[in-house]
Formats: sequence, C-alpha cells, structure tokens
Amino acid sequence: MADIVLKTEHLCKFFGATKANNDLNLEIPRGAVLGLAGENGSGKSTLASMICGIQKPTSGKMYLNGQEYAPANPVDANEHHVAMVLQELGVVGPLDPVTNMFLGRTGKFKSGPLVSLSGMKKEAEATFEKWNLTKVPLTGVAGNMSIENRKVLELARALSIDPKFLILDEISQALSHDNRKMLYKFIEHFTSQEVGGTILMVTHDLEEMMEICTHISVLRDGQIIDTRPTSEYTMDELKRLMIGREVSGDYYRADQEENYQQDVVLKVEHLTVPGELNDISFDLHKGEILGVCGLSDGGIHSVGPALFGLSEHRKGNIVYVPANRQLKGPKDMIQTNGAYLSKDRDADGLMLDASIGQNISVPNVRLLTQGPFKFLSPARVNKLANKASVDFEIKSSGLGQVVKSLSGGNKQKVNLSRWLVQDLEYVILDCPTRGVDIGVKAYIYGVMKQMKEKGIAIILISDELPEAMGMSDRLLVMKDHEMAGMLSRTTDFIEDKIIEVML
Amino acid sequence: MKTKKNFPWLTVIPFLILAFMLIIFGIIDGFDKILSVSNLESMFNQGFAIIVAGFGMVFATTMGGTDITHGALLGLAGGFACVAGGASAWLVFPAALIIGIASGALLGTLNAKFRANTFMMSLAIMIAFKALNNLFFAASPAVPPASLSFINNTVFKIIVLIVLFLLVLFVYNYTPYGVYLKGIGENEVAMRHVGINVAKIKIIAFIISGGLCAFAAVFNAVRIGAVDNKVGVSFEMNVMMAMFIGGIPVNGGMKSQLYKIIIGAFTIIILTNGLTLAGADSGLTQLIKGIVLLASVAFTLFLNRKISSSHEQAAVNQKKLDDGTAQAA
Amino acid sequence: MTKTAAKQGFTSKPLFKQILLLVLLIVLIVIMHLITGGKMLSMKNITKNILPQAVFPTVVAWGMMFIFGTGLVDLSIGAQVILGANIGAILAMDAGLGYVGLIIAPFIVIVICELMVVFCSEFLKIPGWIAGLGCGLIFEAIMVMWTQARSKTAGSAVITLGDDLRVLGRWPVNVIIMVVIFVIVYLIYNRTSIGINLKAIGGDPGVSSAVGINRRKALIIAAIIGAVIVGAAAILNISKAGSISASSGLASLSTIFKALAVTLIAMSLNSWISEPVGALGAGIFVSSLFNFLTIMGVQAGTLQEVILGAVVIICGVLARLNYKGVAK
Repeated sequence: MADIVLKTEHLCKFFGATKANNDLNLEIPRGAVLGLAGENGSGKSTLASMICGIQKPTSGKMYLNGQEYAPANPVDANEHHVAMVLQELGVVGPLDPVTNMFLGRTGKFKSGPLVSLSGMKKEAEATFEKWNLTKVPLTGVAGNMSIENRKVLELARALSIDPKFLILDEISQALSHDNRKMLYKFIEHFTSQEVGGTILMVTHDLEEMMEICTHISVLRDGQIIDTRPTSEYTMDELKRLMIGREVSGDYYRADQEENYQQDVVLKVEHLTVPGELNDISFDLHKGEILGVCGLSDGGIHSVGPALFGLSEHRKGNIVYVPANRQLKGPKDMIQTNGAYLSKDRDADGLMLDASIGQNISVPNVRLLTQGPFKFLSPARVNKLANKASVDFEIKSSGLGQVVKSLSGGNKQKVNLSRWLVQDLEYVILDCPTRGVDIGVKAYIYGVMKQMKEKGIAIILISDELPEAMGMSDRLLVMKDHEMAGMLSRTTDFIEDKIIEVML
Repeated sequence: MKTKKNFPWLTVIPFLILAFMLIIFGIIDGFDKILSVSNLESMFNQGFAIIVAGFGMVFATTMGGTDITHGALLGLAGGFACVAGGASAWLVFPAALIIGIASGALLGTLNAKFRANTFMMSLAIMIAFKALNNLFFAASPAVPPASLSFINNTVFKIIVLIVLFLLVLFVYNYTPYGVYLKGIGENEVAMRHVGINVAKIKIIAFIISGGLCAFAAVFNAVRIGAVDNKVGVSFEMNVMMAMFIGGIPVNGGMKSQLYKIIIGAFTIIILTNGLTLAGADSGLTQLIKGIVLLASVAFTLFLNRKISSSHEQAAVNQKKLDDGTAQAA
Repeated sequence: MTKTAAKQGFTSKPLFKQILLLVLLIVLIVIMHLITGGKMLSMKNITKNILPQAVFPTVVAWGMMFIFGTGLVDLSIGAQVILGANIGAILAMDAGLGYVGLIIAPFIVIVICELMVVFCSEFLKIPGWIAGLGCGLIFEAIMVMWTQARSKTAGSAVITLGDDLRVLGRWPVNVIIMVVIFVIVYLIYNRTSIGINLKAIGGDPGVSSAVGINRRKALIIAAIIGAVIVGAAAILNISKAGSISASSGLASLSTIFKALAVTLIAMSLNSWISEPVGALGAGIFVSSLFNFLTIMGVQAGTLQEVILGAVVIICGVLARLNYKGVAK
C-alpha cells in the first residue's frame, strides 16, 4: 500500500453557479512529483488554491498524512508544512527581497522592539545555501528584479517554512535554461528518500511534465479525467485527453464543407501588438464563420481587442472593405455595423447591477434617437428591449430584473441580444458559450447558423476545440502569438491534425 | 419564472426621511412656523442654489466621480460675474459660466486623460479657488449690478428652476448621453467595449457640474448682495449631503435620478431651517448634519449590499432550476 | 548571470538617486536664496521661520503616511488637530493641569477620533473619503459648540495657552522634537513588523493577505500610530501658535493642505527614497518655498495656496502615470 501524503475526496468548488472543481478524487503518494495537466479554465489553479488554503472547498474533504486537512488560510497551510509558489501571486514590488521572503513572519526576527534585518538576511542566505538555489541578488527592491529572479525568490520563500508538500504553479516558464536545471536538480533532491517531500506541479510545458513528473493528472472542465504514472501515457494520448471532448448531440453544423460568399468584409493585414500578436493576416468573407483557436495563452484572446481597437501600440491594417474604411478604433467598428463581444462578459460586457432593459439599451440608444436634439423615447427603447428579450428567449421576470440575478446562460443571452438585435454585418465573438449550460449552448449555435445564412460574417474565438471545429468554415490556428495555420472545413478538420498544429 | 417582488425600499426611504423631518420639526417648532409663507419662501431661496448646483454635481457623481469645488466656485464665479457686471450687465452670466466651464474642463481632463483621482484633484482646485477668492474679494467684496436685482424674485426663480429642471432632465433621461453617463458609473470598461468615447462624456459631465454651479453663483450673489471670501463656505457639503440623503448612490450608475437631489435638498433645508428655528447653534446644526450624512450613506450602502446578495442567490436558484428542467427533459 | 547590484543607499534604494535628490533640494534652495538677494538663508530666518514652519506639515505628513497607508484618505485630520489641541489647552489652562494636560489629552482625543473614522470606514462600510468628511464635520462641530458655550460664560471664545506653557513651540525645542519624531517614525516604518506589513498591504494587497497579514488588524494599528503622530503635531502646533480657533464648514481642510502636499510629494518619490525621509525633505522644501514667496511679497492665504493647489495637481497626475486601470 503506497504511502499517501495527500488525498482529496469528492472535492468541489463552486463559484455561484459555476462549477470550477467538480467531484475531485485524488491520491498523491509520498515522494511523487504529480503534474496537473489541463487547459485554462480546467480547474487546476482552483485545486491548487484549495490545497494551499487560499480558497475553501464548497464540499468534500482533504486528508494530509491521513488526518483531515482544511487549512483556514495560507499561513495555516504553512503550519502543516504545505508551501506554494503560485502564478498569480508574486512578490511585493516596493519591498526588498529579504523582507519579501519573510513577509508575515517578520515577528520571528525581533531583537528588542525592532526587526533585525541582518538576522533575516542570514536566514535567507542559509535557505539558499541549504537547497542549492541560484543566489539571486538580495538588495534593491523586488519590483526591479527580473521575473526569473523573482520566481527563484518565491521558491526560497516557500522553502523557508520547511515544507514537506510543495506546490509549484507555472514556475518554469519564467526560468532560463540554467535555472531550469537548478530547479530540476532541486525537485529531485526534494522528493528523494532522505528529504521525503512531495511536489504538485502545474505547467503548460507537456514535455517538461513528461520528463520531470512521476505521475500526471489530467483535468478538463473542472473534473479529473484520469490519473496515472507518467510511464503509462504517450504524449499524443495526453494531449487528446486534455483538449478533446465528447461531442454529443448534433448542435454544431451538419455540413462538412466550407461555404461562404466571395465578398470580403474585413481585410486584416500584419496585425501586430507587442507581446500579444505577431503579424496576423486574414480575410473575412460575407456569411463566413472564421474560427480562431489555440492554447489559451497563445494569443487568441488578444485578437478581439486588437481588431476592436482597445490594444495599445497596435500596428497593421484593418479595413472594412465594402466602404474601404480603415478601422482605427472602436468607433469605426461600431459605425461600420460591426460588434465585438469580449470573453469576460461580467467585466467587459454587462452592467451587473443594472436591469436587463438597461443593459440591452446601451449599444442601441444611438440608433433610436429622433430629431436634431437626439431625443430618446423610453417607449422606443422599451420596445426594442422587449423585442430582443423575446427574440432571444431570455428567461426572466421582466425587463426590470437585475442582470446579476440571472443564470450564466441568460446573462449571455442578454449580452448577445443587445448586439444581435441590430442589423450587423460582422461580429467578433470570444468564447460565446463559456459558462453556459447545454440548452443555451445549442441555442447560441442555432443563432450563429441563422446569422450565417443571412450573410453576417462571424469571427468565433474559442478555446474549445470541438466548438471551433463544429462551427467554423475555416480555422485560424494560433500558436505562441503567431498564425500557425489556416485550415479548411472541407479538408482539414480532423482533431488530431488540428491539435498538432496548435501544440 | 418568477422572482420574489422586492419592496422598493431604496426609492421610498428618501421620501420617508423628508416626511420624518417635516413632522419632527413641525412638532418642535410648530407647524404654523415651518409652513408659514415667509418661512417657505426663505427655505426656497436657500434651497435654490443647492438644487441648481446639485443638478450639476449629479452629473459628476453619476459617472462615479466627485466634485467638491462647488463652494469655492460659488465665490469665484459669482465674484467675477459681479466684476464683469461693472462693465455691462449682459456680461454677468457669461463671465460666471466661463469660470465654471473652465474649472469643470480642467477637472474632467485631469481625470479622463490623466487618470487622476477626482476627489484629490477637485480638492486641490477648491483650495486654489478659495485662495483666489481671498486674493480678490476679501478686502473689497464684489457687488452685482443693480439692474440684475430682478432675478431675486421668488416667482422668477421658481420659473427658472422648472425650466432648468426640464432641460437637465431631458439631457439626463432622454438622450443617449444620459444613458452613457450612467453606464460609465455602472461599468466603465463595458462602456469602452461599446465604442463610447468615455473621455468626452466625463469631461462634459464636469463641465456641466461647474457650469450649473456658476449659474447658481450669480443668483446667490444677487440674493446676498455682495460676494466676499466667505461666500460658499460648506456649500459643497450641503450639495453633497443633499445628493446622498436623497438616495443617489455613492458610486453613481443607473440608480441615479434627478428628482432625488430635489428631495435631498429639501430635506437638508428643512433640517437646517428647523434646527435654526428651534434655536440650535450653528455648531449643533453641523453636528447633526454630519451624523445624518454618515447614517444615510451607511444605511443605503447596507441596503444595497443586502439586495445585491439576494440577486446573487437568485442566480444560483435559477441555475438549479435550469439544471433541474434540463435533467427532467 | 546575476548582475552586481548598484551600490545601496538607505533602505536598499539606489544611493546614486538619493544623492541626486539631495543635491536637487540644495540647489533649489540656493536658487531661491539668491533670488531673494541673500535674505532667505540667514540664521535668523532659518531658525525663526523656515524650520519651525516645516514642523507641523512634516509631522502631520508622517501621520498621514500611516493613516493613508491602506488607502483610507481621511481628511478629518485637520478637525482632529483643532479639537485635540484645544482640549489639551483646556486641561492645561482651565483645569490647571499644565503640561500634563497639554501633552496627554491631544493623544487620547485624536486616537479616539481616528478610530471613529476607521469604524465608519471598516465596519459601516462607508467609503473612506466620505467617512473622513462626515467625521470632520462632527469634530469641527464639537469644537464650535464648545466655543459657542465658552464665549457665553468665559467671555472669550478661544482658549489661549499661557506663555509659560509654550516651550514646546519654540526653537530649538520644536525642531529637536521633530527630529526625535523623525527617528521614531523611520524606525517604525522600516524596522518593525507593523511598518513592513503596512508597506506590503499598500504595495500588493493580494500577496499580503496570502502570506497571512491581517489587513484589518494592521489598518487599525497603523491608524492608531498615525493618530499618535498627529497628536504630537497638534501639541507642537498650539504651543507655537498659542491658540487655534475653531473652524466650520470643513475649513479645517486648509490646515492640513500643506501636509497633504508634502505627503503626495513623498509618495511620488517613494521608489527613490524611503517615505519618512521623503516627507522630511519635502516638508523643508515646501516651507522654504513658501518662505521664499513671502519674502518676495506673495501673501499667505492667497497665491501661496494657488501654488500649493498646482503642486497637488501635478503630484496627483504624476502618481497615476503608469496606472492602467479605471480611475474615478
């Protein structure tokens, strides 16, 4: 019987109506290096944050060394010898590295009423020495350190509490070659028999994962698909488990051929945003659904803001061809009957504390004015809001209902309807079915099919490959912020082929 | 799918507070005194400037900002209007408006283009304007031209107020500008995603705020008879209290409504007037006003939080219902 | 590979930049001195005007450093100073408690006032700036009410400290006290857990709570420390001025506006020098600047405040240069 250091039993974490972690059952043996594989949104970070005490589970239990384990906060986790280096955390910029290392525990270094800075420095150097970490400069402020050095500092911070269970979240992507070697040596030493530590590792680098981890757990849509020793995976199988999904029901398109009109609506040339997009070019045709897919941090979610005009330092040309008009900013897209729906509908799309009617009206009021003084008749606004609500089958107790009280699917209907009720010529949709139940998903695909028939051009940005494959005429695959390929529905839509291009 | 109908507490409470004030002070001072024609007229005259300037401040608050310059503007714009009036009575209003609009444009630009915090910036402008008031009007107060004394007539003021209210109401509720302004208060990022020129809307809001305050400054100058450096002391606090007690949300947004400042202004005026009639010192009056301000803001925020969490619960319930019907199907 | 770090000055900020700032400060003061025809830097002017006038804004700025540290922009501090200082004077004069009354009372009063503001902001969830304004009105009002009562009984509305009780306001005592406060503030801000935690919360609230720093507890302790410092400022102020009259309608804001400017200047320099030092330098600079203006004939209460307003506006803009979020 293996010595299990951490066990989770039916672990769940729900955020309101969203199931971030759903019924996770995991057993991590002592001395293992367990890799968590999964796309963004698969639930890896939520699981890691529950283990290290940043979030509390909605239901389910955890056991550490056989005892029930429910850390109230990260400090409590530390007291159980669980430490973490998390991606979104980091260091406090204005403070120096040594203070950062012992932040929250500075009381332990008191000599008299004051904190002994030299005492902390000694302890810091000792930690670096003990674990053979690269000696980063401990002077200056942490905010001026390179990202690499910051990560090593965070590792030192985690190690200074003398942990037996260590969570490493996306640590290696910041490190150079030399530092990676140091990291791997450290991982080996930490999980050796004499030290007896265990590591939970989250990384996007599948090759690294296959090389370093002893076991790999694949997460998808908040659930664990499988957990096996690394030797029992092949790279291909791993990728397929991560990305592929069961395609049940035929709510995507029935046809298998790319099919759109000749007329070009948008011409995009050498679109570049430093750090986000590199030389993207394509044509968008009337009645075409152009999918954009790739790994979440490959740049797909930068396409929308870049086209719309919200990105800084954007270079390249975007032309609305029918009127030969350059799209330089949001106003241009709006005035050429285009729209952009960002993937984050709560933050970028909806006014959560306002009513359905108010939300629907905002993008439409400029079209409803009468006369030279721009008179806006509430009757007209209401009529339009009603029409949108009925056309899109929004389930509510009335237009006055506050949007915050709607389910994800209905919120998305409000988000979409306020634009689609207009006579648009082209739309950019970023993850339109995110956080939406099956019924509304099918409904949205139906709407998209109708729009296609009317000749409306759609750019569908999606991090769900089946969705992109199911709906697009052509698929623009992005990798590392560049175009990796433009695939055709007629000939290229085979899952494995697309995954290969993506990764 | 029905959600429980919530009693519109937030809308009703300001009216309740106003009624409460009326009754309390009616009892303390005697209804005959409070409701006498001369007292009503006096209250109206005091409230006029607060309401007019308040119409302006509502624009700044609706988008989520703060404009604390109104007290100092009352002095500076009023003073310059009087000085200009020395040359010609026709210059009085334009001179005031120029000051008000310039001040608003500065404040709006600092926030819209430089992302500076409106509270801090309007505070700085207020201190600078107060200093200018000291410089120009402390020793020799400015006097408005006699030809303008007709505007101090109560009936005239009522007409002006009604016309102003209709104009401002039109812009606030019946134009896209008003929708966008409230939208910025609700979610500024979402407004950018609709292609709205957020900077322009913000700057215009502060220009309206400064401009309407300057407009009120002229009427105030004529009512008082002269503008010295003490004009406008605690005026901006009165306007702010009128807004929040009237129920305008601290962060602005869709629930901001123009009539609320009128209710709030009357509440503040009755409070001040009632206390004065009862013989309270200015110190006690300010003490009570401070408490009322804190209490009303705390209470409305508390109510808002309760309503917000009930909305979130409703969403979870609706999702459970949806999942249930999906499973049953 | 790792670079050799630049030579370190105080609290690990780059030494080179710190020397640069010091030189800049000296150069600006010398320029002003020369423009006044050599009048500004006379021993008499320095000890009678520049340094004493720097004391109040600088000490209040140190207090603001702690109170504003977690984002609570409390502008009732001015009213708190007036209330605290006067109660100290009352106990010293009317109750005959002398220095004991003068020194103990302001600390207690101001700490209570500040805790009241913190209560409104943290527990009643009133936005910090409104809590400050509302409480400011209340503190002012209490002072006004007492003044109005006193004028009916004792004849004079304002209480004045007897000359024998004003030692703390005179050179060199006041400047010595300021230096002592500086050392204490510097040590607390840079070398104690509360100071470190406060800087951490201000620098990155997310990381701070993840490492277990209790934000609310730190905020309350910092507010108390800040209030104590403001208390010291109040004692020094009334000792120097003899009396402080009550204000109303939030006119008390003007009393702390210079301190606010000093705080903002120190904040915008905080990547170059530690804030306590920055506040000291800014306080001396602002005092010199206003002394310069006075010598050149620019009156206090008028154009001086206009320039102060301009300084605050510039600092407000500079502080947000790299800010990418939503600004209201």
